[in-house]
Amino acid sequence: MTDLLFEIGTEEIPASYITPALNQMKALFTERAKKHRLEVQSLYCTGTPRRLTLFVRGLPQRQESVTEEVQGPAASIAFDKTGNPTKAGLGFAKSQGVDIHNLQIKKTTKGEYCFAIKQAEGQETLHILPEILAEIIKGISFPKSMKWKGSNLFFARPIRSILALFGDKVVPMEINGIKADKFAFGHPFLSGKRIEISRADWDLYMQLLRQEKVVADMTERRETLRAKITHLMASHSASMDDEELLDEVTNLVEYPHAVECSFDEEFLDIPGDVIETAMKEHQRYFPIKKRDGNLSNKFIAVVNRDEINAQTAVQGNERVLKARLSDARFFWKEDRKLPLEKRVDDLKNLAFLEKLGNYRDRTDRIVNLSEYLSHRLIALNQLPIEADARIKRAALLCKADLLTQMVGEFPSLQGIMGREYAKWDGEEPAIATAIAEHYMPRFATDTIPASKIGAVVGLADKFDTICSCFALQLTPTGSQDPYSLRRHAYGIIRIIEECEFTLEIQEVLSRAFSLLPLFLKKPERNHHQAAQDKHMQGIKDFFRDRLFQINIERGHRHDLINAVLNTGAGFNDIHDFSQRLQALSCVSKECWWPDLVTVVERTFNIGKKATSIGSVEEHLFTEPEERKLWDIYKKNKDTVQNHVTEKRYEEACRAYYEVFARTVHSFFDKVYVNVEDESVRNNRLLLVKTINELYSEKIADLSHMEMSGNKNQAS
Amino acid sequence: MNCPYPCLLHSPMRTPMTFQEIILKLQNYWADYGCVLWQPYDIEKGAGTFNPATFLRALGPEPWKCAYVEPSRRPADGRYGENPNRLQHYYQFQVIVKPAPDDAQDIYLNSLRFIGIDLVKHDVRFVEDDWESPTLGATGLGWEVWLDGMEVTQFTYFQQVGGFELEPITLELTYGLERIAMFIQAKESVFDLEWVKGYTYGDIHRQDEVQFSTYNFKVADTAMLFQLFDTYEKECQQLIKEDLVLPAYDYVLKCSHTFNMLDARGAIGVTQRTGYIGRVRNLARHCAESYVRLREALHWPLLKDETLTPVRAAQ
Repeated sequence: MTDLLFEIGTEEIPASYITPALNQMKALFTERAKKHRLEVQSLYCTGTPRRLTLFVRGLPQRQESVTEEVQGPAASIAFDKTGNPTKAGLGFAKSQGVDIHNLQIKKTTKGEYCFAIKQAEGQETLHILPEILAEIIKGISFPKSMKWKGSNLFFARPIRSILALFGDKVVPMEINGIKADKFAFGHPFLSGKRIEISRADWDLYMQLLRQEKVVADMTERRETLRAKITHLMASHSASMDDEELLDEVTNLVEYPHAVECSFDEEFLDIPGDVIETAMKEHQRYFPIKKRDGNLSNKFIAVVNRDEINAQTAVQGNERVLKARLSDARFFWKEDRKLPLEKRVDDLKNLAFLEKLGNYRDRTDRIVNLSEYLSHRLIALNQLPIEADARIKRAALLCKADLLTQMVGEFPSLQGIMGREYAKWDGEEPAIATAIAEHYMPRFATDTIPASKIGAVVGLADKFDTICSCFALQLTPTGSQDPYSLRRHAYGIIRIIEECEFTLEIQEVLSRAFSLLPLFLKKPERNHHQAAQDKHMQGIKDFFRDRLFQINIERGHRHDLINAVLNTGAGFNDIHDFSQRLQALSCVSKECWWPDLVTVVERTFNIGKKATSIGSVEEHLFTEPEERKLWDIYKKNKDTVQNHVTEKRYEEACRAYYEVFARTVHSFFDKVYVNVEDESVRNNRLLLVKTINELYSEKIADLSHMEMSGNKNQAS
Repeated sequence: MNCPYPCLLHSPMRTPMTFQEIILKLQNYWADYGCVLWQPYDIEKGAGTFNPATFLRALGPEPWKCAYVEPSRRPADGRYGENPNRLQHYYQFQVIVKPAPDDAQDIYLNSLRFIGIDLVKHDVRFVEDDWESPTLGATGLGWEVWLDGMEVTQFTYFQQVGGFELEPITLELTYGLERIAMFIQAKESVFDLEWVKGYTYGDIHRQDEVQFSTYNFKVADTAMLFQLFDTYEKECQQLIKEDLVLPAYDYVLKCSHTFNMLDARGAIGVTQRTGYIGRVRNLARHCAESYVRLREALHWPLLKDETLTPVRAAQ
């Protein structure tokens, strides 16, 4: 058993590329090793901005020898009747590198076939590794790759060295003019040395690099940084709370160190969010917050220097932040000279999407749609009547901050600056808050707007974006979603669910469509109705898809999701949809669940044969079980329906099961449905269908459940 | 890896380098490396990349090494001389090495040492940067180089120019001269930089900033500029037809600057913007095509002289 140490030495790779690249290295090696019949004991990976390293413990010296059988053509095709080889037979033997006389004929289930038996001698691992390692280098994919020499090799950034040791031997490989050797490079500034690694030994590699100021282990770098940052923060009674930033800075340095810096307190009159953005977004600084959550005038910069040499960097970093904060303060001062309200008209100079006018038009649409939503929800008592005027105001102002210089400089502050400027203008706090909130959720783990006003404006904004893009056929495909429509749909779904709003999606979408200039201007109404219908179908499929995906991610069973999506009630009312799915997920864990499924499934399968649409006629009953079932239905129908109306779906399921599980089965046991007499038969089919629809139309279509064995027990 | 140059910044004998000493030093350094000391091109432009010594010479297989100061204009960045960091006219130091050398980073870092920056004490970072110039149809990957958090250089391996995939790859280094000088002289405002003993950057350029900011933002005649853009574009197209690519490229620069002026005046709406950028890119692409054709017809003259470059370009 021999170990392998493989380091790709590069110029600085973007921080976010490193971990995914290391995972690919592991996966690629495992896969290639298997293909080459090399058994692997264990693999380790680590990386810095300047190296991606793979260590493989316990590779065999030599690949396993094998006898390989390759099936060829049928014997009757490879040889003619007299036993002489045909062209096909010769061709196969040649392609396999086997003499025609050594082909073996074996019986298979499909008849007699030719087989080439090949003896593959195990090669020395050292001689297979060059191919495997080259394939790893070529196989790692990055979000963006480049070439730097020649046009055959792409990588995140130029590769400048390769260390490849199998035991104490250098793997004889060369790629793009770089020969593998046994050297790694120390820290480019604190060491500058080329280090000889004598053998493939993980600990030795780590230790020698450490001597040259490189902490190669990613976890160690992160934890060192965490400790240093926490220590610096502790003296201000603050704590490190940004794991994402920590992960990022970990992969920006080879020697992890952090220094405390400060800025002039006078900048603290700028809104905290602005200061934080100026620190984090471009400079990757950690702000230090006081106990009350407000910013102090201190921050922490992570540097790629050791303790002795780090202090020089403080002054420079302070100067850089000062320049950024000076800019921000200038914007903060200038922007407030013009109230948001006065900016709304100028939004006409800001284009939205081609053919869909500008942000002034868009603002009008958001106001219109917000008002519509607000009226609907107020009518349903889901929103207080006082909210209406505030919603309208927030909708009017929600995009105005896009024209401020601050948002121009820091686009991620859109909405947040709107809130700050609105407060300054003297808008009501609820309106200011809603302006910031209407963009939420901004990312998957973000919360939805805390206020109903923000939620309504947010819905209007998102519906308008989705409809606009669908109208222009800018729809997401595969991994491409340039307008983040999936995120918008996700936001809509979560807002409706969490605010428990009752909205008919189809109606909202129609409204949103009718507001688009594309449809306002078209003279031929019929034409644009057809176009709208087409887009509408597209959006509905899109929402259906999103609901499916989101609920899969939440851990719901796919057959349950489909069952709820497929009912008559469908997902037009998203909140109702989610309640039904939730209920069904709970019910599916009950012991009586299989029986419920069987009843619904059985009634569905029989009932779908009903030809007439009329209603059940009691005078056509001939059997007592028929009448009995019908009476039970009549007696209990309201109970089930009331549960449904009150959205007590679990109770509805239980009631349905308790009422029908036995009676339906005894009906089928005793009554033959497919009798000759057409009217009697149809009446029976109708009876079954009616019973099925009581459940299927309103709750879920259980005709395609996957029961994994339970079903057999039940039926 | 070892730096052949003594660290000057911390030598007690010296005061920090003046602005012009930094330029002289960089010129010396890159002249020693074998670069042609090119000169600024005499047409307004937004960056050194627009200079034909970069844009055109990055195309095709011929090796090329040059260095030059490029006065650059960004009309929209003017702040009437009131912002300590923003200027509508500033200086870049541009270096082009084609094909990109294997030790590109080391050569660059040595140039920083050569102008007196202690790279052990100061935190140098290569921060990822996907560079793109939509008007030139050019892209590259590389880094912003940070010195203690301040961006002082763009370090780019060009991948595409004028819409052409490059082979070989060209290395472009763009030093922000004012920023480096502010770093070296530890100045908070660009206007306080010492250009040479007795003259500050402000003495020389503050008035330009005030005047040009006023002109760019408030006075420039937009009707005239719109007309000029069309005229320049037409002339450029005509010259391309006549295979006069070098004069044609001058008009790409004129179009680009005219567009920047209109943009600063706020005369171009967001939707129109894309259209104008597309028009400039189109001209640039035609010039690139035409230039490649021209050099090919001449049998790539610079490929013949093997002494010009240690690495012969891949064919």
